[in-house]
Amino acid sequence: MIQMTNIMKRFGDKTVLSDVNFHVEGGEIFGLIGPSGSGKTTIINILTGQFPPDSGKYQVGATSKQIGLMLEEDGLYSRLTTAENLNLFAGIYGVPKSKVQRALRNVGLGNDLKTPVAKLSKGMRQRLVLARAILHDPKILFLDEPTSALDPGTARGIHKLILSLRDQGATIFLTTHNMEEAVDLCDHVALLHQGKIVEHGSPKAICEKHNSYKTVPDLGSVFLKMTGVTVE
Amino acid sequence: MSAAKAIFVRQLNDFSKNMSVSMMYIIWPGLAFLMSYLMGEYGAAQVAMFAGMFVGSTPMIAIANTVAEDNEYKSLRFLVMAGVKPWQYLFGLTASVLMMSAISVAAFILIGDFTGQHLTQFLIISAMSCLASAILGGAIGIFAKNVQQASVIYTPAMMLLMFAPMLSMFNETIQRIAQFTFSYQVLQIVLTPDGDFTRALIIITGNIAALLAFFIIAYHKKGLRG
Repeated sequence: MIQMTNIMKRFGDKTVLSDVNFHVEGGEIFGLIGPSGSGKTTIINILTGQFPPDSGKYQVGATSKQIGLMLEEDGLYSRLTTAENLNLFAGIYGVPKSKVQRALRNVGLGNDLKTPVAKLSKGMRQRLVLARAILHDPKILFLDEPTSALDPGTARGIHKLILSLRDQGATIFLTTHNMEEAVDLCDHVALLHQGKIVEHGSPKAICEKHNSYKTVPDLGSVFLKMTGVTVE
Repeated sequence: MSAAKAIFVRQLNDFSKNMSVSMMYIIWPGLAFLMSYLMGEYGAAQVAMFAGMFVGSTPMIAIANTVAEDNEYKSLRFLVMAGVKPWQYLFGLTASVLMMSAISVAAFILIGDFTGQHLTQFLIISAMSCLASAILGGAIGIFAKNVQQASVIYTPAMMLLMFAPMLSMFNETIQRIAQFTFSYQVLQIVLTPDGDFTRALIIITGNIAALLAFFIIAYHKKGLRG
């Protein structure tokens, strides 16, 4: 469904990605884990066609209209209401307006249909972006740190939603700093450090390999061991 | 086409909530009405002046600000990644600006009390001038990285298009230059109903062609990727 082979990317003199290889199966949740500046967002930007790699090949098994995106920048129209923001994309994707209400309800914004985006909190904006990403039932969902600004209760709700989307057949590619989130959600993860994938596999298998599986998989310890950096 | 329609609707929604832009559609006909009312018999001159100012500023600023804002806040990036083609974006945007402009032009018609052939000529010249202004705004919006930069670029253009036709009434040198702007042609069509309509059409068509070339250069250099 998603594949990267020998991907390399430089910005000026700095090599951001070096020989990146991974494969994501259809219908799984794949987590890309790494500290800030490790190249996670660059990988999403390449996979979503925002800029090309310098070398290597990549493949995404969906058209632009079959992809849902939640990126660092939200791109919301702050003067418009939550519903008007989604109505725009409903029009673009050709989905009925009834799905707008459903998507907003799914992310807990069902009572804020007429609230202007400018009046939303950061967490609510993030949920709105997620609603926009799932509005058209995408085949592949790219989520760049989907719960980074959310309180634990809302984050748990978003986790449930992500799992239900996976159960409905969507392939989900997410980046996260949160190791618990990676363990709870992801079928497979890749640890990215200084533009290279230093470990990949299922969270459980990685933790077992590095003797970091006690009562629960401790992916954070593996991450620290592999990269020597502090997890944010 | 559904994407262009969605953008058109979004833009109308946004205009209704963006006071700084929506006021521009009201303020020029409003001033024309006020001045005509106060000055009575000189009403046509007021309509000429403010209609010229309107076409020289409002469509251009509305589009330039929108494209620059969509660039600055990465909204355009999400539209492009959702599969919106640049022409759909620009078509939706331009259609909404022209529709809003049509309301202002209708107000000028009512204030100026145009009838018959004069009305038809004013309608054609105004519509073409709004289109020229919108094309210029699109090119500026593409060139600009953000709204602030857009305003730096469009301000001199706006000054030229707004004030040169008005000042041309008092200075022959300015008149020789201003006569080749579309906003001057709007002013002239109001003031001289029996003027050379064909010449006005040729000049505005030339303006549109030149601005379209400018737009194509801007698009070729910067593109619409958000």
